[in-house]
Amino acid sequence: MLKGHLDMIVLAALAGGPAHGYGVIQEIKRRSGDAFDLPEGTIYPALHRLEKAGYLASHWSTAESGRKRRVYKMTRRGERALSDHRAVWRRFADAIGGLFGEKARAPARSHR
Amino acid sequence: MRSAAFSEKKPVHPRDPIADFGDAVARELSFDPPLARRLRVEVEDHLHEAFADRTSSETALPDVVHAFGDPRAFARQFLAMALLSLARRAAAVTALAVVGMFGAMEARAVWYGWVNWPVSERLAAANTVGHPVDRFAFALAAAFALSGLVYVVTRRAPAPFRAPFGREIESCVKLNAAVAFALISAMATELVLTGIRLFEAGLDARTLVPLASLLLELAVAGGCVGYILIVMRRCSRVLRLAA
Repeated sequence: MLKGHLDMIVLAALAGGPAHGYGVIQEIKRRSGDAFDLPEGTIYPALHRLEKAGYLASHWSTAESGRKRRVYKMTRRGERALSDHRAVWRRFADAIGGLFGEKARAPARSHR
Repeated sequence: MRSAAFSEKKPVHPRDPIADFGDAVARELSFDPPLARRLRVEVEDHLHEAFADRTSSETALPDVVHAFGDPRAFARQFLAMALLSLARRAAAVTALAVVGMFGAMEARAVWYGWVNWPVSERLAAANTVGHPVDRFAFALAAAFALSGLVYVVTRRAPAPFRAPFGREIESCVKLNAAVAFALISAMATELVLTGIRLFEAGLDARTLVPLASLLLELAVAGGCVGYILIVMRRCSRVLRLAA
């Protein structure tokens, strides 16, 4: 189910603020109410891919333990991409909701 | 009976599963050393934190490492990105080499005009053959370099890796190798033509610019060829891992 949506999920997890790889996984788990417990190794290719696409930026920092840590944060381009993903997802969810006989929600406001 | 040397106990250092896993990840990603160094640190930090985060004291370090997955499978997820990065670097280096050689050639031509360098009969005869060869080789290099650059700038890495993408990148790197070969041909022609000029003029102040520009061309073409060879080797390592 997550296949094809991983990039959007990672961007959404980083919308709350910068985080390192493990932090992103924990944030996804927390926000999804433990529904999305991703295999740990899958997050790094997504982070690198999103960084190469210009949606994320990263830098080295030092953790409290003294270890070097790569921290990722969303760029303006990433924010726009997430906003587009969100709009598409809401239209899709409303369409499915309509099929199931649920009431459609009010149109989403643009976040740009 | 065991010999004393055989029975002598060597000091045993406890192995660190996280460091071992980091080593394995770096080894699998050895086709891209900067990526290997970066991911090793990221993965080790991840595993240390995952271990510290486990509430159960029964969770052993190897279990945390095991939960991360197989290092080879992990590395395979980066193949497409790594291949595209390699091709981008190769395209950037060859494009810079074309620009550098063009600059050196133009500087020499401007200098000849500025000092009114005389053209002997022997040089004129060599130019009738050398100039078209030089121009053709350089134009070919520029055209190939431009096509390679356009390809790598517009191409996106698929996730996961697909064999046709690997073949495309392989062709792109071969195109860059063709650029390097064409540059070497252009430079060899320039070497002959400039050599004739320098031989006829002897060593004086006028020859400094042609000599320096020729050395620059040699360095640029040599560097380009060396880099393309490294990229080709790394690409074949990536494709072997993907197979």
